[in-house]
Parts: sequence; structure tokens; C-alpha cells
Amino acid sequence: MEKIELKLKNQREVLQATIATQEDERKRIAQDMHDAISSKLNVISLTTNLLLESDDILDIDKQSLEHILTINNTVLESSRKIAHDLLPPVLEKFGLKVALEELFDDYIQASKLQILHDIKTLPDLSHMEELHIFRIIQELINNALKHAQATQLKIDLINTSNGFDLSFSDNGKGFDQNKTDLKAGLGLQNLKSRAAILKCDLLIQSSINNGSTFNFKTKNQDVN
Amino acid sequence: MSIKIAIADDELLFRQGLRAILSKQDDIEILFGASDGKDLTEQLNTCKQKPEIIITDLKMPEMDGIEATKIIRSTFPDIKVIALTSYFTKPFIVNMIAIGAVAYLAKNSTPALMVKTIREVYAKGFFYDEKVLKFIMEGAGKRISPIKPNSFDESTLSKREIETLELICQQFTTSEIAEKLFISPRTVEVHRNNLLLKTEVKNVAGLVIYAIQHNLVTFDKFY
Repeated sequence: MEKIELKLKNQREVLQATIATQEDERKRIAQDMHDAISSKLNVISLTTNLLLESDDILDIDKQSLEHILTINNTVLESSRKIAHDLLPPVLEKFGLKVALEELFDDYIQASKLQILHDIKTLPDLSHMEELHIFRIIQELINNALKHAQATQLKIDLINTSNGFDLSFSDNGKGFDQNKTDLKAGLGLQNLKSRAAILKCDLLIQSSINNGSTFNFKTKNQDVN
Repeated sequence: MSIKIAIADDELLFRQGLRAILSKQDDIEILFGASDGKDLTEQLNTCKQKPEIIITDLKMPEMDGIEATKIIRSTFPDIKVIALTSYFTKPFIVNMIAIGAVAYLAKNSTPALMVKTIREVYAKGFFYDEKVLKFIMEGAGKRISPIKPNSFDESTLSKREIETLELICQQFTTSEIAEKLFISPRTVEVHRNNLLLKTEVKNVAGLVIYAIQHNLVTFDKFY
């Protein structure tokens, strides 16, 4: 019995380490995308613009340069988008609240989703903790859209005396907590791992046709 | 008289390209370039002749353009900061303006727009193009600039001050405003200073945001 406990504990730790490594890698790639690609594309754009400004330029050359500029701008936008999807730069520069508002705006514009939200500024969180909360909310919104076909979400993030309290509700089709399929199970496992990294209790309430509610709340210190 | 400028960007090639574009203009003089925010603030502290305008990238090693802008706003409040960046998105624009940038340029903007922005900032203290203005309007409901609660009631702005504010938002210069309102340029400056005091914003750019947030001007008046 103790052996099984130990094995499970090890598995949980491996999963948490995997998530942490994955985040580090994402950050590194996003950084490289910016330093090695976007910033050089900006130089191409600037140089091409410089050439376009000269007075004795031939029409045919002008067309080619404009073509270069158009393609360059498209690649620049793709590179920005890929880096953004890996790690939204707003999160690092302006914090969780601004990053979440951007995330909500993006979803509201791209889908018919309604999001009611109250996000407080949580000054005591580290960058890593902010990132995990961001990923949790991103995952929950994705699930609500893809699996639950929700149309309305309510997301609240508030301060508590020892941490934070995140509550997420959707009006989707819900699920039977005793019978989750493998794919949904993996997403759930991810949420649990992130909750463990954040030292949170995760409470899930859901049943078929009644939507779902997820609540993440920092554990009481003395329980640890 | 030329406009004195400093450029901060960690990409040397970009700095050189920008220098090449700007030095073609007779009315623009580049004082120095910096490789990041730390380099920029150090050079600012030691240089004899201070720049009037700083063009800064946002993402840089050591100290980024956001931190540098905050420091410049408090240490050298007369120097205007133009953000020049690959991040041309609403949260970046709205937050950069909230911390005191007076203009926001995408790195792949045309040279013509870059030069225009510098000249407008030099003449009027700020420049927002149509896209940036749209983002400010959308962000307006969220109170992007730090407005202190109960600090001020719009009704205390005089009619003349509101007229001046409207014309500032339409990007008229001091002398143009004076002509339109049939008053002297000095009086316009008095109105502007009173506006800055009463609204508790830091610069003309802040006044524009204030006007938008308090519905003192409408969008169609801008263009």
C-alpha cells in the first residue's frame, strides 16, 4: 500500500517537473523568436523602406521592394503571433491582470463567448505563479469552448489572506466527474498539477447539462 | 534649430538604419544611441546636451523600455518619450501611454510616419495616429491613466479651458489655438498649465487621454 502511495507521489512530481520544464522551453523559444527573427525582420523592413525612399528608383525595382516589404510584414506578424501564443509578452511586462484582459478580449472577438470577469491585482505573486494561473484560465476557457460548448463564462480572481481564490464557471454541457474520457482526463491532470505547484486546493463541481465550476484556492498554511 | 534625439534599441543594425533615415532630415539631429535602458539612463545622466525626444524600443536586455520610460518621466520630465516597438497591440499601447509615452510607433512603420511623429511630438508634445487613438478610446472605460478618486470635478474647468483642451486634442499648436480663440499665445499657455494642474496629468498626452475618458471631446473631432 505504501509502495503505491510512493509511486503516485513520484508520478505527480514528474508531471510537475515536466510542466515547469515545458514553460521554461516555451519562454526560451519565444525569446529566440524575438531576438533572432523578429528584430532582424524589423531591420529588413527599415532597410527596404530606406531603399524605397531614394528618388532615382526604377518602377520595376520599386515594385519588387514593395513586394519584399509586404511579405516581410506578413512574416513579422506570424512570428509575433507564434511568440505570443508561446508566452504572451504582456504577462511579463504588465502582469497577470492586463494579460488576462487581453486574453478575454481575444476570445470575445474570435468567438461568440460572453465573459463576465472580476480580476483583482495580486501583488504578491511571482512571475511563475502568474504564468501558472494564466495557463489554468487559458486551459479552462479552451475546454469550455471545445468540449463543453459554453457560451457564457464567469471568472473571478481575488486576494485572500494567504494567497488567492480563482473561481471559473461555465454554462456548458458539463461532465460526469466519475466518467471522464482519456483526453479530457489529461487536461484535468494538467490543472491538478498546476494547482499542486501553486499550493492550491482544487474543487470541481459539474454534472451533465448543468455547467461546470472550478475553484482554485491557496491552501491554509497550517494544513501543509 | 534642430530636434535633438536619442535612440535606444538593442539591435545595432536597427539603430543604424533608423539613424540613416533620420539623419536625412535637416531638422533632426541624433545625439546618441543606446543599447538598452540602463545604457540610455546612464548616458542621459552624463551627457552635456540633453535630447528633447527619446525613441526607445520596449524589449531590451538589462533594463527594458518600460522601466527606462518610468525613470525618464520622473528624472527628466521635459524629455518626450516615443515608444518604437514590435508589440503593436492594445494592452501595450494603452499601458505605455499610461506610464507617460507621448507617441507609439510600430517598428515596421514607414519612414514618413516616423519623421512625422517626431515632428508632431516636437511641435505639440504628443502624437497618436488613428490606430493608437482607437485603442485609447477602447481602453478609456478601463481608466488607463491613474486618476485619483474625488480629486477633480469637470465642472471646475472653465469654458475657455475646455475650448483649449478640444483644440489641443485636434493637434493644433499653441499659436494656432491662439488664433482660433482670438487670444494671445501666452494666454493659451496659461490655460494649458491650468488644465495640467486641474486634471493632475503629467503632460499634454495625459490631457488628451483625460479628455477622452471624461467625454470632453468626441472621436470625430480628431480628424
